[in-house]
Amino acid sequence: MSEAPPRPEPGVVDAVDAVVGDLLPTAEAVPRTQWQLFRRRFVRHRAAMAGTAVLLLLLVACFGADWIAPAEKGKQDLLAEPAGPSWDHPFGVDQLGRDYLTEVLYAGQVSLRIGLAVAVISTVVGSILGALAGYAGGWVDSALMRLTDLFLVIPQIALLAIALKRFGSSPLVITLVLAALFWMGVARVVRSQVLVIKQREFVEAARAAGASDLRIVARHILPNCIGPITVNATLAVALAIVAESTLSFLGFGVQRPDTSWGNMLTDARGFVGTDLSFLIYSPGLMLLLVTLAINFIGDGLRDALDPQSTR
Amino acid sequence: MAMIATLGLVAAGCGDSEETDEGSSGGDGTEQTVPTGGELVVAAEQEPDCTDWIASCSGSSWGFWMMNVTTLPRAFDVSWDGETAEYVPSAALAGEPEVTEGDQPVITYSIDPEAVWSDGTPITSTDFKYTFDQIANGEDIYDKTGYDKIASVDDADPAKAVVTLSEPYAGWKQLFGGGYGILPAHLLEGKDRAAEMAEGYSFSAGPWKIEKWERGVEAVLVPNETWWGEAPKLEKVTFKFVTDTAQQFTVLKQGEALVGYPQPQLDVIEQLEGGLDGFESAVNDKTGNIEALWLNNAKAPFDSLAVRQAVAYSLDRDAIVKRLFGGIGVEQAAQSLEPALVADLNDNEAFAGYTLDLDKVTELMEGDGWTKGSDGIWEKGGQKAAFSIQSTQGNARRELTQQIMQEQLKAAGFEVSIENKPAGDLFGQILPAGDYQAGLYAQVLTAPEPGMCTLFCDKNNPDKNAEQSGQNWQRVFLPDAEADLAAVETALDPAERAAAGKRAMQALAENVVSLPLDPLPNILLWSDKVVGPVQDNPVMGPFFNIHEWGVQA
Amino acid sequence: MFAYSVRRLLVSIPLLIVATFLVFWSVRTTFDPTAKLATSRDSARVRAEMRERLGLDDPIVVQYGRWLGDAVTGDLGTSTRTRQEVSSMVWPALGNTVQLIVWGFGVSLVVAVGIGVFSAVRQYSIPDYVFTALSYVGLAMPPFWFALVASQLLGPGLKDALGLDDPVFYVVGLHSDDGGLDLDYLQHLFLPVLTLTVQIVASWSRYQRSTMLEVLSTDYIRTARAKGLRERVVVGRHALRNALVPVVSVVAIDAGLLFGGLIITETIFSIPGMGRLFVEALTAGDAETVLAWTLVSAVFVIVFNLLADLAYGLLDPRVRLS
Repeated sequence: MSEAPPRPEPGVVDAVDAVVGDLLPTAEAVPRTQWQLFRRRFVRHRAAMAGTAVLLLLLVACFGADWIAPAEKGKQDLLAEPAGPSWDHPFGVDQLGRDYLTEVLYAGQVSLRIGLAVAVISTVVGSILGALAGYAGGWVDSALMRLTDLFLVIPQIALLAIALKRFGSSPLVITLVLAALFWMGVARVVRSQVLVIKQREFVEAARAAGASDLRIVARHILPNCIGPITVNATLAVALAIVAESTLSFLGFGVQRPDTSWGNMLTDARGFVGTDLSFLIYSPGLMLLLVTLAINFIGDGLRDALDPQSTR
Repeated sequence: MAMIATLGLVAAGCGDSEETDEGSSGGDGTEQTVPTGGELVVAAEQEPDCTDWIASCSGSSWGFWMMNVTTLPRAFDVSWDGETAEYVPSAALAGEPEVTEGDQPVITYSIDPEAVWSDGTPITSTDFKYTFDQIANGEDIYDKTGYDKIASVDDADPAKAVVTLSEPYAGWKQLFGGGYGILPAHLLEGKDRAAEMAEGYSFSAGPWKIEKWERGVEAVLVPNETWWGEAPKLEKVTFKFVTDTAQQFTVLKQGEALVGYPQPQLDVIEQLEGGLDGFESAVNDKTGNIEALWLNNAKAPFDSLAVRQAVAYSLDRDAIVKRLFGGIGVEQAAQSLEPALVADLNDNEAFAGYTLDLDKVTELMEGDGWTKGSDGIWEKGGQKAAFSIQSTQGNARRELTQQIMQEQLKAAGFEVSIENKPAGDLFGQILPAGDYQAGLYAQVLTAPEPGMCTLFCDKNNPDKNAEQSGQNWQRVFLPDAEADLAAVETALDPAERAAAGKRAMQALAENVVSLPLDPLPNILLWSDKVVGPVQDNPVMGPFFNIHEWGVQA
Repeated sequence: MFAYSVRRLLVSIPLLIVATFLVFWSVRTTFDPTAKLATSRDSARVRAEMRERLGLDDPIVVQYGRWLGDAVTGDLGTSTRTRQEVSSMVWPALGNTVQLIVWGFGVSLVVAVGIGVFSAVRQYSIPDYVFTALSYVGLAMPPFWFALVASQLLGPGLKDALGLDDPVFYVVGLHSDDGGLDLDYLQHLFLPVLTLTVQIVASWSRYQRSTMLEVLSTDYIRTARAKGLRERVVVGRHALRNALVPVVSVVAIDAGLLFGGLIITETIFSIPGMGRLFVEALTAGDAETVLAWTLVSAVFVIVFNLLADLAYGLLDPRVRLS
């Protein structure tokens, strides 16, 4: 392996040891387990910890809406005029006299489910297929590339609109369809990274040491792609939630009585510049918080997982 | 979006334009002289698919108001004074046509000798004949109703078009007008009319002609020099297509357009409540639209009169209207299933007796054998009093309406679910096939001709016709009222029509075939810089007199 | 390189046929071109006539075959919605969208790479956090929201604040005069391009930053530094080239997606481009226009992807194209 770089942080040396220890069965046992390493590095990343806290808070608040929400779900009060935030109604009161905070929380369940599910499914599927294609090359790579080509060529909006019209606009269908579209982007990015990485020396070294292809991909190549993979996954959450709002904008999003943040934003978009503009800001703020939280977590994950990151 | 029929009734996917009742602008009281010159930009919400008006690709109300009313001649204009609509012979006619009554009425149109096309050729009876021929015998014609009652058009005398009908037709005044107008035979005869007209055309016999129509961008009108009436004051009118309604107010606020005509959606009303500096507005609640809760009389639970009546007493319709349109001062529910445009031909207050009365609900339901279950919902024979209200997707105001109704009905013991479908599916399959229990949508009249028989006569029940044709989607079956319903569309005597209409509407109300909700008010906005008799017209649209408008610098 | 490109292009032809057939089939079976007429009074007759005239009841394969036969000779058919020649609808729309893409991509690429590199080089510094936060904001905000708020603030907001008679930035279309590359054009372009940039920069800069970080810690870079090269050269010439690889693939994908993704920008700013054309055609069941659109965007996707693959080779000589 390469000689130890002149760096002060012990973490990197540990990581290098871990890799080396893996390849050379006669190496000494590493001082810490991978998991402890990972946890320690993650915890040191302040932004990631803050992000985790915020995300947990939002998850608890939204999925615990049945207990936490100040008002009953969907309860209307026709006599109440829409009003801005107040002590009784921290997020205000909407057009139907509903407590907006309650609405936002319940909508959060739908948006978070969609965002997280799409990110997880597309990242896992895309990374695996992309890595396989990039590593294997040849007809496997070609087949995958042509498949993703096909789906990229067919307008994504068409696929979305047609699928949603056929199968209805339930959160489940939206999740599956978005995941089906997102995985291809992941696959391509991972593939391109793999093309670069598989040329590197340590891969040759691993091969020389007799590691199987699968092991090489799983233990050596994929972890080095962790950068783009995490970026992708964290981007995907926000993109999925925003994509759902685009679908709402076009009329294909989640239908009432379910609602999502995207839906709320679309419905409220004409109120920009009026007294009711708060109707846009709270779901927007939620969306922003989730995105920020997840992206900081992603940064932390990447730093903690990637044996070659600067920190 | 709603595609409007040129004649008679049409079901609207979303509220469209209607009339104004008071609109007037700087002209009212303070007689301002209208300056000549200048250009005006109007923010247009929709764009027609084509301008071949009689073909199926047209059928857009905005298209009609922007480029048909302003460029094509017609037999009758429809004037609106805020209360009633009247047919008035247009500038192309030399007075009221003569009508010879009988089993085969003959109408003689006398053409004004000054009426000319933009190339100087006079308008002649041959134009009438050509128009009739194209509509009656052409392919791909949007709507032939009325023209199928014309037996012949005689153009022997170029100054007089003699039209013979095959049977009496009460709505004859919308012939050679309506959403079509009169076409120039000398320019189109022998050619492919669709090819000549579909993408805009340069001929005209109105105050304006189309200078250009850049799809997706704008439609531009310039004065027609050969117009024999009062010449336009403006040099140019540009209709800019603003595709996102949420942007409309930004467009107006920054002066990119000076006139707007937005649909009465919730955010629009809110924007208006917030005030629009430098703009005047006119709101009209007497329109050609009627939005109602339409009930499928042939499907449970609405196959029972008692249930229909109970639902009528469960809703506080005034409260709904106030909630939707209170911001623009509209607070009364509609009380007739025909729009205000034809108020004098039916009973406009027929449904006024149906107000919120939960005791009556109980009385009616129990009388029909229902009992309230432990969840507060009526039950009978193991069935719950549950139904769905279907409406068009993507319409926030309609969703609000549905949710309010859902709450009110729940309090009265009915379990309501909401299902929204794309407009094309709703009007194209679901309603004709009767796959619904209650529907929330609007019927739109584009001419002051009530279509009561079209909507409520048993013979127009799709279940009883080939290919599910017929617009009696509610499957209304009132044999005693059938004669009156028919008379509204055939009786030539206005008094007889009115009497039949009143009786028919009362029968419809007694049987609660459906429940009227609101008139979908129209909102016209114009900048202070715009002067002249700015007002709306439920049939002809707000730009019918745009040649009398001017712009101050 | 040449042979590779030609092979790629040839492989694309069957791809296009499969893709267009799938699109045609799904559009025809999902969206009904006669649906628009459902609200008319005479609907049963008009719709039946339309079905007859357009041969909508023929088997799908037959209908597709008709289209393909025409398309091969260059006739893209007539729109069922507008009766216009499809080609006369597609080219102007394409022209508008290309303008948005060129400006949007151009600005975004420069800004994204700049931000990404800066953030990586000065990782965990205050500017890094600020850029990170800003790009997340760009990511989290549904584009229509940003567009509407920006329109308000920079449209009438700015005009009133400066007390001007005419707007500074326009919200409708690309021209208020007779066209041409003038100040008016730029005033109209500003808000749509800003909206696009905000969407794009957010994701591209994240990729850029992340890969820059990795590249900066590789042996390759360490060697360059050890050789005594100036930091700027290390970053600019060595690190950047490698870090651009995944970004290039993202850009290529985005180029293909962009047509559909521009829908929001085009709708909010009333620009008649490919995005809008597509949605209008799709919901009206106008299969001919949808297909022409698919062909055009397919060509773009294929070309861009080809360029991307070639770019990998240029950027990173270790990547061998098989």
